[in-house]
Amino acid sequence: MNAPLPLGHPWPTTLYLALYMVTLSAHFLLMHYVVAGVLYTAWCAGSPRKGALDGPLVSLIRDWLPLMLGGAITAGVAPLLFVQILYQKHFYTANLLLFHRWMAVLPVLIAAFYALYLMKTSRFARWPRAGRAALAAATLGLLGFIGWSWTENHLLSIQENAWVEQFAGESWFYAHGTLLPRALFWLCNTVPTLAMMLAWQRRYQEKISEGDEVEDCSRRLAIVAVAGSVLIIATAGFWAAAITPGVREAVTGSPNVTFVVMLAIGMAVEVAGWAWVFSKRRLRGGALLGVSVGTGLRIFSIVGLREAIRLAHIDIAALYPRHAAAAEVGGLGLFLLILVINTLLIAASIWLVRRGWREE
Amino acid sequence: MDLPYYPINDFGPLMKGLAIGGLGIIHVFLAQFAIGGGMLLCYLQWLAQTGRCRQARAFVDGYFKVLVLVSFVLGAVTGVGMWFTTIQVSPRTIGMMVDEFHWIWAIEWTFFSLEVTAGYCFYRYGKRLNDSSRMALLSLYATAAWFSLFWINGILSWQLTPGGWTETGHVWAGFFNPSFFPSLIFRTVTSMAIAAFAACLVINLMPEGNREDRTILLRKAAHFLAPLGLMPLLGVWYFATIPADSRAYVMGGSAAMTLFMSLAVLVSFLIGAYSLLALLKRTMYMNGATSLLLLALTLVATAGGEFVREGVRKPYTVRMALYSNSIRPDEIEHLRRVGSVTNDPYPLLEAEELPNEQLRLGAKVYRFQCSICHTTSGVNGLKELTHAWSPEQKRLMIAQLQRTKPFMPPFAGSAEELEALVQYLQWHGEGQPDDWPETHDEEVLAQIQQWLDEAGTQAGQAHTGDVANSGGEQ
Repeated sequence: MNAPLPLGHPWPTTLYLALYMVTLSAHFLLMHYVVAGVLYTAWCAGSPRKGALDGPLVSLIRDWLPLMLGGAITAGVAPLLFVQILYQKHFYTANLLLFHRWMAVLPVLIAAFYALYLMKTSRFARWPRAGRAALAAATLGLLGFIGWSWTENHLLSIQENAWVEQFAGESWFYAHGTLLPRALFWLCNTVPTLAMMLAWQRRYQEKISEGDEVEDCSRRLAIVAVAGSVLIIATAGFWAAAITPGVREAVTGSPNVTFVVMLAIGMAVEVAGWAWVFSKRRLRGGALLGVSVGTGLRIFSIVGLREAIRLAHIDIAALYPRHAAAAEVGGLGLFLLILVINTLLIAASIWLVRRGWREE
Repeated sequence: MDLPYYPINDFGPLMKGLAIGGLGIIHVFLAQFAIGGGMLLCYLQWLAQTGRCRQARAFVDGYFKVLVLVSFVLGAVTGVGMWFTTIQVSPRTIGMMVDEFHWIWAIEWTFFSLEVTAGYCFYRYGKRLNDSSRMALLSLYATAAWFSLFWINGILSWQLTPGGWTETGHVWAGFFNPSFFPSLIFRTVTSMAIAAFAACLVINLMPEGNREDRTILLRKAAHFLAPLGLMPLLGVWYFATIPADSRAYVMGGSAAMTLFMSLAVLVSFLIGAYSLLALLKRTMYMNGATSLLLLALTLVATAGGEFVREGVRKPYTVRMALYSNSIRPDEIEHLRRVGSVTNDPYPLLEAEELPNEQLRLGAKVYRFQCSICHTTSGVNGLKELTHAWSPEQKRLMIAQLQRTKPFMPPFAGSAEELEALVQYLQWHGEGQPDDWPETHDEEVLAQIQQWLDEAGTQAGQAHTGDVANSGGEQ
């Protein structure tokens, strides 16, 4: 195991790890938009300023939040599938141990979904301040509950020696020292991701505005993104201090240090891109492309570190035979073929919409 | 033998199957609404753009909003919820399904992604697009939704009729199993009916348009009810493909299965009869209340059908491969030798309430082997089911469980465990007294062992009326 994840394992394990890490990264990308978007909406909803919810950024966010959550859920199905191949017993056991608490994620997610649709309406912006702030805060709370539950579930799944005690204690909660720093780190990561995606959306709005005055948000986005990056570094330190020396060594030692380096490079590229945007006051495609590459590197490296920490707790070699047996079942070739076809059809759907606009 | 032990939760007086059944029915209903809805919208869009129904275009946009708000939210989340719930009820079942069919599920995910993308594109921008683009998006959405059904149907039907997979273990032999096509067509027709009734409801709730417009739209939507006429044939085809013992449960072998099947058939007949009448008698107007009632009846029929589909698999969750209590047939012999809970690391939560060690062992055996389908004194409660049996009867009935009831799996533990279970049931039956003596009669244990040996480790055989026709797999 002298190669960074997902490499360094027999090919079935590498294959499932690669699919898991890539699809989880895609899920995080969309989920970041939702979490940070609701956070920003809640901030604006609580603002005494008149028309606080009509600003260009918050309007855009409110409009896109339900779609982004739908996308996040859709993208989340794939890693949920692959985690069941990779760590079946661990994942299932954690689900069972948290029981009602874990199952509560479903109604909470449904409630959050409908709340986002409610916040999308123009009527919401005209609500009294207390009402709109309450709804936005409640939605944030619901999403927070889901994030917290996933984190707790994940932490419990990798602590095999805690399972029997957890069951005997009949507790619906699993307290772990890294839960809070981990959750904070994750939360801070949502901010620059949202900024990047918003920048693309604003750039597109500018392009299709056909000469209409479009408020410049480039500097605001750059400031928020860089502030988020600073918070990421701070919470990463908090998290690193909370994990045990053994795990820290596993994460920062060879070969997983690759992800630490990748994270640093990704964030540096992001910050450089935002610095350019700030200085030029423009959302240029090249700069945003750089920021996007940086964001991609950051998210993928966090996923890599997440797996490295998991593997510091789990004997993955013991799971190789399971992965090898799973890889023997047929269907991979057809999956890859249909993945390509459906990806093209997804692109075609978007192209149809763009073409329709142009014709209009 | 590496048998994984999972923590087993107590659902109280509720049978675990009710949890998955309840969510499953809602999810299936919503998913079928999305599938039929996509097809219906394509049809109405075609009517609109070819000038056959000018009212259809506005309706398509309105109906799609309902589809997004209901199906994209509740349907998507309950779909993920099915995984979570199945894990709570039977982690080994879902684990086996995922292990065998993960690439199929991955393929289904790509269609789900296409469905969501095309759907949201239409939802956000459909009104601003020309007819050909609208039709293209709706076609992509409908095709992807139907293919989601196609892939999932293969996995679900495999559970009851694994076909050649049992011998070869090949994924495609299991996927294109004997009940695949009848089940697929049956569900497609059901989806069309659900979409049509939902459309009738939406048409009645539309603020715009007059009664004449609504009548025209109702008639067009009702075209999707016509395939209901095929239901009897499809039903017969489906039942011809399922194992003979499963068929026998429905045909009177199991009162619950027969009852639910009768309910599903009766309700389906009523729905079909009304629908055909509405189609033939063109002056008939289906108002909002009637549409809602028919939609509710479709839910009842779906519930009955899904309950039967789950129930007739017994004693398996995956036929010939995994019993309903999550024990594999090839593990029974091993567990009878070493004990089913000897290696279970999870302690008994109510240990303090039990007067002796034997009852504690019995409680663990109950938890491991019985609690997935039974409760102690709630739904399908063992206390009530076995109350009239003497201890001697309990020993015999449980030792030869697959003969007692062929939809029960064979007992998968040692003689000592069986005796402990009998004492645990007896103790419950007698009101859980504070004192309870342990029984360690060697003769009793020897008799239990003899009964266990006589019954063997194979599944029981339901009376099918045809000895040669028992599904060909026993």
